Amino acid sequence: MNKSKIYPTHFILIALVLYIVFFLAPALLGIYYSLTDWNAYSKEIKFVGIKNYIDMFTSNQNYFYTIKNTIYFTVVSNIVKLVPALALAIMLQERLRGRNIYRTILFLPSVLPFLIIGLIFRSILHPSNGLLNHFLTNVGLEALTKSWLIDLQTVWPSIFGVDAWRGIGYCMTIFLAGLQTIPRSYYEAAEIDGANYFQKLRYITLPMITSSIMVNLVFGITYGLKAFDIVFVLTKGGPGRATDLVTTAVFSTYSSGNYGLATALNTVLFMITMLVGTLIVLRMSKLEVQQ
Amino acid sequence: MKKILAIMMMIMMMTTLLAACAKKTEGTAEDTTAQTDSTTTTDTKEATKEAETTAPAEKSDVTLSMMVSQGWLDDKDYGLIDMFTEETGIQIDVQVTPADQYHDLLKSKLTSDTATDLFWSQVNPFAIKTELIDPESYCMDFSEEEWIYTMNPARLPSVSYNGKVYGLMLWHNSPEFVMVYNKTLFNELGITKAPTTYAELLADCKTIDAKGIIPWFVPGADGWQHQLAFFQIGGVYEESAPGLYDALNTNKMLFQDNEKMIEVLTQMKELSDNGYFGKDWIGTDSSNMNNIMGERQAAMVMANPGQIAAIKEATGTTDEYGLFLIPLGDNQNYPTNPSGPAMFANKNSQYPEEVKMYYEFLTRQESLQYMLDNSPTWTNLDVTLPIDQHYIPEEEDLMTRIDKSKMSTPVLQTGVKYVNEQWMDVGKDMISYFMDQITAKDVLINLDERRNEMGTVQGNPDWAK
Repeated sequence: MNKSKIYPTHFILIALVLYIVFFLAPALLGIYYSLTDWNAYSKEIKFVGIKNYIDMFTSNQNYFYTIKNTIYFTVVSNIVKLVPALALAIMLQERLRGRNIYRTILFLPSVLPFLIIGLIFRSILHPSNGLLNHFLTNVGLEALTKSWLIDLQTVWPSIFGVDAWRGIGYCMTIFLAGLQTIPRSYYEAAEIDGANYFQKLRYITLPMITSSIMVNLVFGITYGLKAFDIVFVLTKGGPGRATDLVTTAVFSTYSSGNYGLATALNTVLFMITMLVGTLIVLRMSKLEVQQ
Repeated sequence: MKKILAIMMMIMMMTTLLAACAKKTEGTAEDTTAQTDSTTTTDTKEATKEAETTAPAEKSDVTLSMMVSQGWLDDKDYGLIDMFTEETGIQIDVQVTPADQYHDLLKSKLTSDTATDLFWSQVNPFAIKTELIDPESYCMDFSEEEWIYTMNPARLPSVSYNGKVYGLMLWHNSPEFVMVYNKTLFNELGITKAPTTYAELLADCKTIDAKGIIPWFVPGADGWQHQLAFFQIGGVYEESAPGLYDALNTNKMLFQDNEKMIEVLTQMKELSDNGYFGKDWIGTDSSNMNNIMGERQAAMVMANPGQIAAIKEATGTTDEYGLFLIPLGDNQNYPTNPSGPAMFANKNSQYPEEVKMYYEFLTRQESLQYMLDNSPTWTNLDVTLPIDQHYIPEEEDLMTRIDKSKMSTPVLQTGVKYVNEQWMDVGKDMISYFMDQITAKDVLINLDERRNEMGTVQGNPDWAK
C-alpha cells in the first residue's frame, strides 16, 4: 500500500457541497437581500441599491454605534479573559497540590449555557435584591454597592466580568495545552544561564505558546464579533441602547420586520469578521513558518 | 465489497441529512410545542396530566399550544383552560414569554411557520396588520362564527382586517392605567387633594420623597410601563394641537415637532432625575408591586382600578386607595382605549375544529362570568352578554369627576398609526434619554423614523408621497 498517496479530489466534494449550500450560498444571498427593501409587510422585494447601508450610517437611530460597541466588546472581552487565563495556566502548570481540581473548577463555568449564567448573574447583580450588593453592605462596604447593570459606568464592566467568569477557564485550558508542549530542559538550561522568572517567561514560555495564543485570539475575536446571548440575557442591549451590539440590533431590526436593513447590518458584521479573520490567519501562517 | 458498503453508507447519510433538513409537513401541535423554548405552566401541566387519566375515551386527546406574553393570563385563564380540558379532553399547553421579547418572538415564529395553534397579540384597529405582520396569511378567519358578537362592537375593528374577523378580545372597560394612590398615606402627609397638574404632582412627589417613600413606583425592568405614561395621555397632545391625530395619521405632521410631547418627556426625566420613580427603577420589575404599594414603600403607581383589590388582598392593608388621571403635561383626559390583548389562531393549525371549540367555550355566558369573578384586577368585562359586573366605588368616583368632553380622544397608541408597533423601541429610547445619552427630541425623531419605515414598506399612500 502506498502510504504517501494523496486522497483523490472528489473526496472533498460532499464537504464542499455542504459548505456551499449551507454557508456560502446563504451568505451571498444575504448580501443580495441587503440591497433590497425586503420586509415583513410586503410580498414584493425591490432592489434599492445601497440605501440600507446609507440608512445605517445616517439614521438618527445610530446603528453605527452598535458597530463601535461590538468592536469595543471584542477587544476588551479578549483582554480581560486572556491575560488572567494565561496567568492561571502558568500557575496551574506548576507542581501544585490539587491542581487538577483547580483546573476543573476554573473550567466548569464554560460548560454552562449563557442563558443560565445570565439569569444567575442578573439576580446576583440586581441593585436592590442582588447578592453582590447585599454582601457588600453586610461586610461594611456599602459605599461600593452599585446599580451594576443599570448604571452606564458599571454596565460594561459587569458584562465583561460575567463574560470573563465564564470564558477564562476555556482559554486557560488552551494555554495549558500549549504549556505542556514546552520541554523542561529549556527552562533548566535557562536557569543554568542565570535567567530569572520573568526572563524565562519572556524568552521561553511566551514564544513557545504562540500558537495557543493565536488559537485563543481567533476564538476570542470571532466570539466577540458575533456575541449576542451574554449581552441580550444580561441587559437586552440596555440600559436604553447603551450596550446594543450589531447582533442585538439585527435581532430587533429583524423582529420589527425590516429584513433588508437587518441583513445589511449582518453583512457589515460579516465583512468585519472576514477581514479580521483573514488578517489573523495570515499572521498565524507567518508565525508558523518562522517557528 | 468495501466500496459498495461505503457508497451505501454515503447514500444513507445523505438521505438522513436531507430528511432532517426537509420542511416538516406533518406533525402535531405537541411537536411544535416541544421545539419551543418557552415556559410551560405547571398548572397546565398538572391539569393536563389529570385530564389524561380522567378523560373518558370519547374525549379528544389533542393538545393545543398557546403562546402568550407574561402578565396577560392569570388564574382565571388557567381555571378556564382546566374547565375546557375537563369538558372536552383537549389540553392547552401555555407558553409564557417575557413581555419585552414577546412580539419579536411571535413575529419570528409566524414568519418561520413555527407559531403555536393559539397566540395572543396586543392589537388596535391600526396595529393588527403590523403587529401580526399579515392576518390574512397567518390567522384563522372567524367571520362566520357566532361568538364574535360577544365582543363589544367597539372592539371588533381591533381584531378585524379587510372586513374579516380574526381574533377574540375579552378585556375590561375600565379607566385603564390611571394613577392608583394611597389616599390614607397622602392624607397623613398633608396632601389632601390628588394632583391634577404637573406642578402639583411634582410638589407631592417632593413631600412623599422626603419621608423616604417612593413617590411613583415605575417598574422600568418590565420594559413597557414607563412609555405607557407618555402614550396614555394622548388627549392632552391633541388638545394642545387640535387635528394632531389626523395630521400624524396622514403624515402631515411629525412627532418631533410637537412641543407638548417634548414637555412631557422633560417632565418625566425630571421625575426620574429626582429619584421620584425610585432609586433603581430602571432595574426594578413589577413582580413585587402589590407588596411595595401595600407596605407603603411607594405611594403611587400607574395601574388599573382592579389593582386596588389586588394590593389589599396581597398585603391585608387597611389603607384607602384612590384614582386620578396621569397629570403629566397637565393632562385631565380620560384614557379612552378600545384595544387590548386579543387571542388569535394559527391559520396553519392542525386542529382548526378544536381551536374553534375553545373560542366557543370562552365566549359562553358562564365562562365570561367565571372570567370576571376570578380576575383580581378587573372590575368589569366589555362584552354584550349580560353578566354581573363588579365596578368599584373608586372607579365610579373617578368617572363622575371626568368631563365627558375629555373622553373623546383615544390614547396615542390606539389613535395614531405605527406607534403601538414600536412600543419597546420607544421605551429603550426614553431610557437612553433619561440617562442623558440622547435628547427628548431624539426620542421623537426616532419614533418618526420608524413610522416612516413602516408607512413606506407597507405602501401607505400618505408615506409614499
